Amino acid sequence: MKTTFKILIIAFTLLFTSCEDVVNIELDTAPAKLVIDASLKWEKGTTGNEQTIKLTTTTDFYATTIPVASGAVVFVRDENANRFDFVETPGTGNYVCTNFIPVINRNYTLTVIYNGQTYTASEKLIAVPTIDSVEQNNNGGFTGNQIEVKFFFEDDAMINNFYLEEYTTNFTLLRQYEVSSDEFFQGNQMFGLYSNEDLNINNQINFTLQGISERYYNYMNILLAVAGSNSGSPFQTPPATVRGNIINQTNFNNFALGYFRVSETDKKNYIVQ
Amino acid sequence: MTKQILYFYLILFSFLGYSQEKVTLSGTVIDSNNNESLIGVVIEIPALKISTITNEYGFYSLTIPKGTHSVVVSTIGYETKTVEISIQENSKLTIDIKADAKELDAVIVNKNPYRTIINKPEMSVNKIAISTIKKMPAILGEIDILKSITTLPGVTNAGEGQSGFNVRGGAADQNLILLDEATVYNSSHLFGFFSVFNADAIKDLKLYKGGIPSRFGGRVASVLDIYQKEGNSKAFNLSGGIGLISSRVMAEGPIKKDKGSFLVAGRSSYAHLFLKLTDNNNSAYFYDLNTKLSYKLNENNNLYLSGYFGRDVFSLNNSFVNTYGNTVFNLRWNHLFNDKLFSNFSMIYSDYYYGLTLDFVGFNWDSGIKNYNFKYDFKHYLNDKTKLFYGVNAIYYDFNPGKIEPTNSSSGINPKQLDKKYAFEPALYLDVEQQLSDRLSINYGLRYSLFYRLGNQKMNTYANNQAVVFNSEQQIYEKATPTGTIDYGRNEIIAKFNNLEPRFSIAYLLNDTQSIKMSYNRMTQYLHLISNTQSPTPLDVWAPSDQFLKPQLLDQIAIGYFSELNDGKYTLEVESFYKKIKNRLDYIDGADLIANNAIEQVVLNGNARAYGLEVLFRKNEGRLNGWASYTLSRSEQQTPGRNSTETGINNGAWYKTGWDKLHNLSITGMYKLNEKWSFSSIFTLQSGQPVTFPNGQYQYLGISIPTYGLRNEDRLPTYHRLDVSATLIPSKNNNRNWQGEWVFGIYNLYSRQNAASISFRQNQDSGNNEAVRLSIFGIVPSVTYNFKF
Repeated sequence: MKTTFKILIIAFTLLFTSCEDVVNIELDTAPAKLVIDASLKWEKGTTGNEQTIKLTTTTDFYATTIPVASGAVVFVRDENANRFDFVETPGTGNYVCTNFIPVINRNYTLTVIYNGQTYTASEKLIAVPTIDSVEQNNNGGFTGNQIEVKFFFEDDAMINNFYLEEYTTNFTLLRQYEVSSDEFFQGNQMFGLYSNEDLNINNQINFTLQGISERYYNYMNILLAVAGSNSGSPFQTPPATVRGNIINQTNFNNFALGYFRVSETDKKNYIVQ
Repeated sequence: MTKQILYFYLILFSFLGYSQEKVTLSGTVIDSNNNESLIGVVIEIPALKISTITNEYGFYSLTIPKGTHSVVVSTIGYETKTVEISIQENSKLTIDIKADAKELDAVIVNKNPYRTIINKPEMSVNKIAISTIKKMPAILGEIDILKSITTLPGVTNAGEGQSGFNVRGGAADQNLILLDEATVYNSSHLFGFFSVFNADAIKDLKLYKGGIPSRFGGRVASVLDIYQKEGNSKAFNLSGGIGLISSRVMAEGPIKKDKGSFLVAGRSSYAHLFLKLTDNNNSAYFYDLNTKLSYKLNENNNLYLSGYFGRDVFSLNNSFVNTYGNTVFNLRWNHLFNDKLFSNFSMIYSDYYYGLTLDFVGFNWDSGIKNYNFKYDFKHYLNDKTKLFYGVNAIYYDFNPGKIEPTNSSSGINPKQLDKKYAFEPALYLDVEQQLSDRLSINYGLRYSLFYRLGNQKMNTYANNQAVVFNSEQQIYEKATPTGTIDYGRNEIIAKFNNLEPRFSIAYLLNDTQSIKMSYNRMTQYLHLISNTQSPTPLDVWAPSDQFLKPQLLDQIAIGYFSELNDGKYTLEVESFYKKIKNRLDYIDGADLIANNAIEQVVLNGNARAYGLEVLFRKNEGRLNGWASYTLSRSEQQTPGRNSTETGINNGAWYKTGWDKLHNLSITGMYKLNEKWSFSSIFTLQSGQPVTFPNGQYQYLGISIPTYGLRNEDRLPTYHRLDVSATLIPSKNNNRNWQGEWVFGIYNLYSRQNAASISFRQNQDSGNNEAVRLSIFGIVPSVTYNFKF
């Protein structure tokens, strides 16, 4: 819903994109903070045993490499007191677990011990519907001659659902995310829409639909807005550092960025006809 | 407190007395060319040191001793006229004055119309003559009233191409914009590039920044009072213009000669504006229509019917259709009870509509606000020293925060009507203008405003009456979950407020050419524009006050020094102001405002303050005239935590508003070379807009996310720009009916790449972060042809 309104804003900026220049703006850098990218994803039809958590730190805005956080102790517990250890591939900041057991609606708790500080977070594994069908429309987009692809799924009418939609392609570098809620679609067919002016025949689109909690939906809503922020544009909302669900138990004020969440996911690959 | 204020007024009243052996001279001042009544004309009897100015309908009333007097009538842009009268009893006198056609060799007038700036208590008020606005350079040659007023001290806008304007650090939604007394809710076309006012149809405008008379209320920053022309009641004429953006045409003429007149003015931009795409069904255009009918029933009664209708339309391949605009109607009846008591009754309707269709998603959306306004105003010219203005006013509001519908049966959208809201805002007021001595005069008044939030509506209830809760774990504000709802029936009172709003201003003449003034005003604003962006967007909705959204309360004081130099050739105005506002809404981080049925869950009541120094220097006469204005000011807001465990927004710290401009300099110059050519230019130099730059980045889900410190600690680069224009009046005009005029303009003459925004993003190809400046206008030439016959 919210995304569709953004189109208005895009329509407006489209009219003026010709006067954009990359400029050199000097920026300050705040002291580094720990960043915990803990997205446990259980793809339908897999065991979900293998999971990775990534630990990094914040850095200078223009830096091209992201410093990794090595030497942490990372583990997840479920509500039945099973403990899953995440072991670092040395020097990479990637902490890998091979025996994780995903169960829908089960609660999980993350613990990270890094530089003598203990960080924790809890989240429930949220289910997701299957992607039923894919539809290609060659007369889409604003101009009516762009290719757009819709991935359809059925919303569960019994509960309020929130979704994260992830798109990767073989012709773009950056991943693209959207979040949506069933507020105006309760129990109806919903879809993820991919449209790009460079989209052509034989291009491949990977679409991943992920079930998320309302709290994470709110978090991602702000985060995605901040990631694409425009300082001083008429449509800018005040940007802020977004705090996730991770709590520093040792020193409350030294909070970590990132989020711990557990999602069921469904995936669909599509090759443009 | 309230009681003390009342006593104060009672005491002042007891000083009002009547004088003997005096008679009243009253009437109207009109333009000799077209009978158009003239606002703000100074009528003075220099020998008696008595003067007055005409009101919004051109009416004046002067109480003077019997005998022979010479009356001097003057106003900007007109030849000063001296009328000798011999008066023995109450008399009516219609005075017609001539537009000042030959400014070049204008006789130096013995009394200059700027004199009133010195001796009236009225301060913090600016006027620009429409004739002046029409000469000022404008973007793409499109004359723009709102852009013109930003050349005045204390007036800015958030940035180039952004809608609305900001007065003395106030937000754009804190301006009361009146077109023939009707509220205009959105003043911009095309997302803020142009204003909705067609200068052809406008007679006069006045901007109140402070010391606002008590007849105005409902907004806390300013009042922009715009009056439409009545139309020529002497002869039919047609005028218009062809420009790069739009074409205009206006017809006016008598319905019955010297009694009734009509005016119809239309303006339309060309479709496909800005869109370089030519081979499709896309369009983006706007149009507006101004109408007015005036009829003089008899000596004591006049009727006026005004209308405005405007729309913006964007259509992209019919899959995205966006329409929005204002509609305004006003029926007014002027009645003269006697020579001293003038009244006006108005019935006003105005609305703002916003509609959006997104066919590829499958929905229709519309939202808007409507209001019905009744006003009865009296102007009582008690004696030569005292005037009373009093009246009542009642507004009924009907808000539609949004309605969503599927466009077709295959759409997955469920229809939904967000709760409609209703409110009633009555008010009564009294203003007194009193001349206490030759040197000292005061204006004081009181407005009593009430606000009722009415049903039919369900209202959420919350634990501890808090619709926003603080999550101490994540240190963020979150929506509270309602504990239940209360169902209010039609016209049942949901919440009510009342406020006394005192207004006061005083002027002390140091000598004939210098004065000092002081003013104080308190104002209340019961409506809030729900907008979390730097400047308003067309889809923003208005919301009434209730138990969660409290009315905004303003207190403002201002002091000023006013002086004329060199016999009125120059005027200097220096003012300083301080104001504070209670209950300014602020939005929690990540507030979603679009289609939100429970706005109270994402807003907190905060504070705002602004202070500054304004200097306005004018050169009033000669081939070269114009003004320079400089403002040094600060505009901030703050939303502290509601208790010690909460952080507040932005850690509870004061932060600059998005329209804070520390320095703002504007120089407007006009030069008349000869009868054929005249030139004008505007130079603008101001501090960049406050923005928040990132202070780092991190990687999450494979994308780069910037981190931020406190709000608005950085600024965009300094903004400056020079615009010029030249007007050519062909000499062959002299011997024909057809009067043509060419206006050539260049906006941003030295093509400064001013930043409209700087965005921080990840490059799509390299994946590296970069800063990108968006500048909207480089050098923009324009040409417009205006005609009249």
